[in-house]
Order: sequence, then C-alpha cells, then structure tokens
Amino acid sequence: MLKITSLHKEFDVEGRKTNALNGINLTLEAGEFLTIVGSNGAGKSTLLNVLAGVYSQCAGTISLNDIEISNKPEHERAKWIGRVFQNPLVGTAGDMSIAENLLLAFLRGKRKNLRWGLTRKNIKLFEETLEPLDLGLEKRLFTKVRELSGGQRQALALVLATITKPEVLLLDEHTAALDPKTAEKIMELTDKIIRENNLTTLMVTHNMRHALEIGDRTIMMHEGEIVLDISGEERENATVEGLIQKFTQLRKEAMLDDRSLLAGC
Amino acid sequence: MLTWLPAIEQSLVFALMALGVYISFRVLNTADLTVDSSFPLGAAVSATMIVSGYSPWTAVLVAVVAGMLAGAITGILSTKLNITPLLSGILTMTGLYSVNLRIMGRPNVPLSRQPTLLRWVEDLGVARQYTGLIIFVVALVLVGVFLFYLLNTQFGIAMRATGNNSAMMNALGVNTDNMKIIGLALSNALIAFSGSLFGQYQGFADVNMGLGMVVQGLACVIIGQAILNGSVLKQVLGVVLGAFIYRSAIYFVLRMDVPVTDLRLITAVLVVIALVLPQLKGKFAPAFLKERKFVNFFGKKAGDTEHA
Repeated sequence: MLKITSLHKEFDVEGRKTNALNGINLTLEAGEFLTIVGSNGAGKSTLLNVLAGVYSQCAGTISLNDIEISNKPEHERAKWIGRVFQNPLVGTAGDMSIAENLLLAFLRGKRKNLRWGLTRKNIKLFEETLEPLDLGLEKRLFTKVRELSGGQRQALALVLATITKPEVLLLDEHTAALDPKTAEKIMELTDKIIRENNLTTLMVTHNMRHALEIGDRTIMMHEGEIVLDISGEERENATVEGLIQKFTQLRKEAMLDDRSLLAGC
Repeated sequence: MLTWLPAIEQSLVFALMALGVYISFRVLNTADLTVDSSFPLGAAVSATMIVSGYSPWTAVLVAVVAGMLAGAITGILSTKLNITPLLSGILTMTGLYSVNLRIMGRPNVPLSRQPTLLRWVEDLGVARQYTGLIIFVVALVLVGVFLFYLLNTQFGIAMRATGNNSAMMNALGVNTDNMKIIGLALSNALIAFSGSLFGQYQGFADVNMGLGMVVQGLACVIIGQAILNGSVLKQVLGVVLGAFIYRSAIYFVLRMDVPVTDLRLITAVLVVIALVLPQLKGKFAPAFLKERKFVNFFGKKAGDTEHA
C-alpha cells in the first residue's frame, strides 16, 4: 500500500516561487492501477518525481507498506519503485546490449558483485522472460539497444522497470513520444504486464481515453491539487467529453483566481 | 631492431596510461584532467620510495594506491560537491602538482643505480636492453585481461551503464555517485601505475613529466576507437592499437626533423583528425551501407525514430 500524506513541493525558478504540489493526499491499495490526467504544470510529473526521490518534498510524507520512504535517496527507493519515462532514451542504456540492460534490471537494488555478468544461466533466464512477451527481443539479446526503434526501446524500458515486480510502478507519459500506432501497442503491453503481475501503478497520460479505459481509478490534477478522483461505477460512466469539459472549466476558474502563492521551503 | 625498441617500449607505457584514460573517457563518459598530475604522482611516489630503500614492488603498490586516492578526490569533488567534472579534474591536477613536489622534496629524483623493477628483472638474467620491454608487456597483458574481465562482471556492466545513462542507473537502484568515484579511482590508479613504470624506465621522476598526458592519452583512445569499436574486448584492444599508431606517428614525425617542441601541436591535430574522420565516413558512405538491417516488430525501420 502506498500512502501519500499532505505532500507539498515548491520550485524556485529565477526568484519566482511556484507551487508544484499543494497538499496531495492519496492512498493506493496494493495492485491498484491509477491514471493521472491534468494540464501542463498541474504537478503530475512532479508528483512522480517526488515519489521516486528525484526531488525532495517540502512537507508531507510518503509511506510504502507502512515504511516511511520520503527521506530515502532515489537509488534506495529504486529497490521498490520501477519507472518508465516519456523519453525512450532515458529508460535504457543505448550503448549496451539488450542482455546487459536486462541484467541490470534483474539486479535492481541488489549488490553488483565481481562475477561474470552474462553467464549462460542468465542468458537463458532472459530468453525465458522475454519470450512470452512476443516482442522478438529474445532473439536479439546481443544487439545494442541504440539499434532498436523508439517503440522497441520503450517496450524494453517497460520490461526493465517491471521485471523484478516492483512494489510501485511509475509511468510518466511513457507513450507520448511514440507514433499513435506504436503508442497503442505499448499501452496494450503495459496493461498486460501490470495485470499479470498485479503491480501498484501510477500512470500519467495526456490521452483521456487511455486514462478512463485503462486502470482502476483516475485522478485529475490542477495547480498541484487533486481536483477529481473517480473509480468504480462513477468512472465507468465517465466520458472523455466529460473530462475535457472539467478541464476547460478549471482553466476558466484559474484565470479568475488570483490567490497569492505560499512561502517556499 | 634496437632503434625501434624505445618506440615500442613507449607505445607500451602509453597503452597502459591510455587504458586508464579509457576508463574515464569512454566507460564513465567524462574528460578527467587529473591524468596530468596522477602520472607524475605515480613516478614521484615510487622513485622517492625506491631511493629511500623500499623494494620496487612496494613502491609500485603505494604509487597505485596514491593514484587511486587522487582519482577518488576528483570523483568526490564532481559528485558529492557538485563541481563540474572538468573543473574537478583541473582542481585535483593543480593541487597535486604541489603534492608531487612535496613527495619528492625537489623537482627531480634520479633513479640511476637504484634497485628499480628493471634492475630486478635484470637480476633474473635478462639482457639489460630488454628489461623495460618485458616489464611493460607483462604489465599491459595483466592490466588488459583484468579490465576485460572487470568490465564484463556485474559490477563492470553497472559501471559502463552508469557512464552511458546515469539517470537510468539511478532509477535501477545504483548509487551512481559512488560508481563514478570508484571508476575515477581505478582510472587514476592505472595512470599512476604507468607513471611509476615510466619513471623507473627513464631513470628519473620529474614533476613536469605529466604535462600534456591527457591529450596524448585521449589521442590513443580516440584513434583506437576509430579503428576498433564495439565489445569491451575490441575497445581494450583498440586502445592498445591506438597507442601504437599514435606513438608510431610521433616517431615518424620526429624522424622527419620536426622539432620536439611541435609535438603537442601535432598531437592536438591528430586528435582532431581522429575525431572528425569517423563522422566523414558516415556522411559520404553509400546509402545502402547506412540503412539499418532491422525492421522492428511494429513494421517500422529501426533507426527512424532516434539517433543516440
């Protein structure tokens, strides 16, 4: 279970303070798949980055299975948190082979010892892991990742992030940089992997249809706050048009709203 | 044969030094300027110790450890203290100059008639003119095999990936700061090792013997990379090959009565050529050679979407 309590984050950009997260409260049950929508600057990516430990929060706590993780550095949290980024280049090491990338993913959070890395046993393990995914990657284990297309590379990034079944999976617009057809394929693969492994997931997306069709619960963020939180029947009845309407409404309100920003941390 | 010997010996020492530069420049993907001072540091430490009566083996060992520390300092400056890698190297290099002088107590420590490693080999019954050659070949083979193995271990693969994509390695739970510090320590340990051997070979340690070493090391690495690239084995062999090509080029240039003072300029030009040539190869190659072989599972040609 992931529990986020009154999470605040503020950025100081050239002396101007911006509230990126303004008191986020969110609890996710184990295996719950949450989709997050919101306009640019709503705080979606900031939320994921604070969860992953890329940024430290100004106030508030994050606990995972009742263990406080909000003060642990990024690389320690990575033991429990898998991530896929928008840019396929970020989630994979281009100059290394597919097998080497997989090895590093298998060793997530573990000590890297001085034994030979790509043993025959490991290669067999990788082949067995990739085969059911039907991507054809198992036949190209020694290909350098940079020779893959953006879509293949993002599929691999997804596999790397989920192979050790992390406690939490963070997907930050991970299909946004791909062409529509490839994006659909990756989204299908995402759904399949998450369901098969019952992964607790937070997925940021700009695609309203994906936000409502995939996953169990949808939140909308606006100016660092959660303004909509739907699941179950309410979510099933929600429409893409309804969501967009809500968006437009919020933007109008924002223009009228002139409240001052809080002090920094 | 004998006129060639010094050229071969120097190529071997440079290959050793360049393997250190390879770790920082290629594996960690950072230009580390500590080299200019860690090379003489190795020579200074071992020469001073040999003159003080220590065995040459102990002297070399301590020199390696000293190089390791120098690299670690650069690593700590650039990771824990957030100083840009380039500046971190310059700072350590500058500071080490004084340290080297302190260690030696004067700018130059002669090693003639001292029990160096070369003397040790000579005492085994090897003809004097071949002692350097034997030591360098053995050292290079040992270091080459060690690097080839290390960079293929779990740890080594993680280190290479850190240089390639440190954001990804952070997300996979690797403390990339520590990885960079260890890498730079290893790199400068090798460079100090080659400095130590070179000092004993030329018969003295000099505080200025490291001047321009970075660029010469880069020359070997980049020339090698232009010829052999790919797996770790190819890269390591490429560096050794690069060192031989670079030193041969220098050897021939010097034989054409070019003054020694022009060496640096020639080296810089060589590095530029080695950096530019592979780009030209890409530009003027026929189209069918550029086309990627793979058609991906989405029916799109690989390489259409990104060029890393």
